[in-house]
Amino acid sequence: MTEMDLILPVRDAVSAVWFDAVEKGKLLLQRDPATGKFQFYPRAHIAGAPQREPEWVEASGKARLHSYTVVKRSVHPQFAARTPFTLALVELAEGPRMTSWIVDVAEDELSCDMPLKVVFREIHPGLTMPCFTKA
Amino acid sequence: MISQERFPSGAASIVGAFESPRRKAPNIHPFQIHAEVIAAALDDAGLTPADVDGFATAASFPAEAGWQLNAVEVAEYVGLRPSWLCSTDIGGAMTLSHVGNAVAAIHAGLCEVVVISYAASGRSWKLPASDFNTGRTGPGQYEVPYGVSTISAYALAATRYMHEYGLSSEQLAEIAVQMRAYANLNPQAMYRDLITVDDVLSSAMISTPLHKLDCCVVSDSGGALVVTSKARAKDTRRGGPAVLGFGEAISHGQMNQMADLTTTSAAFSGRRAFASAGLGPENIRVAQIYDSFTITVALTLEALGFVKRGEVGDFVASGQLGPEGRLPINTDGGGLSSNHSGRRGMYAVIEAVRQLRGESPGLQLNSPELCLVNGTGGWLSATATLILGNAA
Repeated sequence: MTEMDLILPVRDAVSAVWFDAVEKGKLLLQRDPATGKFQFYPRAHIAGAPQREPEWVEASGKARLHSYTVVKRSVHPQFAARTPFTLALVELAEGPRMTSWIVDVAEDELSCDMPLKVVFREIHPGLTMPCFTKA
Repeated sequence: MISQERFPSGAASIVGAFESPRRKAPNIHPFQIHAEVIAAALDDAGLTPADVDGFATAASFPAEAGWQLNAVEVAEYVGLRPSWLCSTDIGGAMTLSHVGNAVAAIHAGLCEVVVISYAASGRSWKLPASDFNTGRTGPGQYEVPYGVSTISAYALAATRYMHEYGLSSEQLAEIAVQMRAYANLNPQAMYRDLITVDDVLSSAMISTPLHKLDCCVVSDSGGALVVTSKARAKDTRRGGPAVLGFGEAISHGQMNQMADLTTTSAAFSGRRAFASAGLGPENIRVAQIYDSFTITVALTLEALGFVKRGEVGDFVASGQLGPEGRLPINTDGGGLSSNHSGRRGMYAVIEAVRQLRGESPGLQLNSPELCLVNGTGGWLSATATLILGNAA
């Protein structure tokens, strides 16, 4: 696999906070101090209100499965080697959705809106990411 | 929000259109295809490169082989010296955006003859797949490591729509079957052998619930359009339909930001296109609906108001997309069977022009007067809608 193929995040000042927390087994969200509304993905500002700075909050880890797809084939060598995997959009209890993987759930057990909880998995060598499983 | 539509409806017409007959072009650089289709579209209009003062393209996808300033690169390669340039990039919908912006620019007096081109060797040009590599920084780093591809993004929308409205895989497959039936009549189509619902369902599962035959073809091809003012259109070789309505809208960059997985931004771009043309879905009897995947068609038909919420499954399964149905679409065979080199918007506009001129290479409908075109870019990320009509 060439360097071009490697899928590893390139950290910046904002994302480093989030990825550092993930390494400690914590899922962080951002909250608008003015409205109390949560946002994901992390940004340096509140989406739609670039003059406001968000505060970091640890998420409950509770979620529901908004949608999913079991990826059977991939053109990318790094992901082709991992097929089949269950790609998902999960709706966090705090409101925002995030992209993730569902792990340890059989394909025929998957259904939209099923309750989930966060787990942390090394989905690529050297990269741990939040994933979700049956609550 | 726009309270009053100001698009200059009918101010300009599409007077030249050409779709490359190429589908597999190993070792042909995409810029060569740009030159081929631009020459042919200008010839179709009876114009020459010396007449061209406006140019629109984007060539930033890997298979399009452009680099930085890619519209400049293509203009230079072809030998155009435009004084108005548009390189808006909203994925597969971009050509429709270019047409709408060209009409506005012509109306404003910024230019008079605009060439719009697109070419890509999606199949043969050996360049790195961009899907997973471009988003490792910034917002992409929270999504890309999970392996979201274009297909899997559409699959996420399909799963949710099926959950909410009970659409079946069999019903989705009907869309692919109908597109192939049109392709069967088009000598230029990439795949022409008739298929059945069973063929679709027994083709390889790529990303549930989308099978291989729920996905568009992958071709090497290109196309070009010539747009000019209503006044100048009269002096062109063959004329062409007027641009009556236009709208564009964006939805999201990442799938986790799409507010409603079952509603595409065509709900907004379509509303603006209809309003600017003074028309509604009930006036449209033929359309070109970007069919990157079967689910794209299903979601778009509802977003545009052709079908009531949740009823698209029955609509497509009852033959309403066929030549005798309520709304024949993608009469050339669409992206699902005829041509999809990465961004299909160009080919959808070209087929609309051909239907309105009475020169479709496949099934020619009986003298349509209006045709709607809807382009969808990215992963349901952006849409643009055009309404074309033969001038009275």
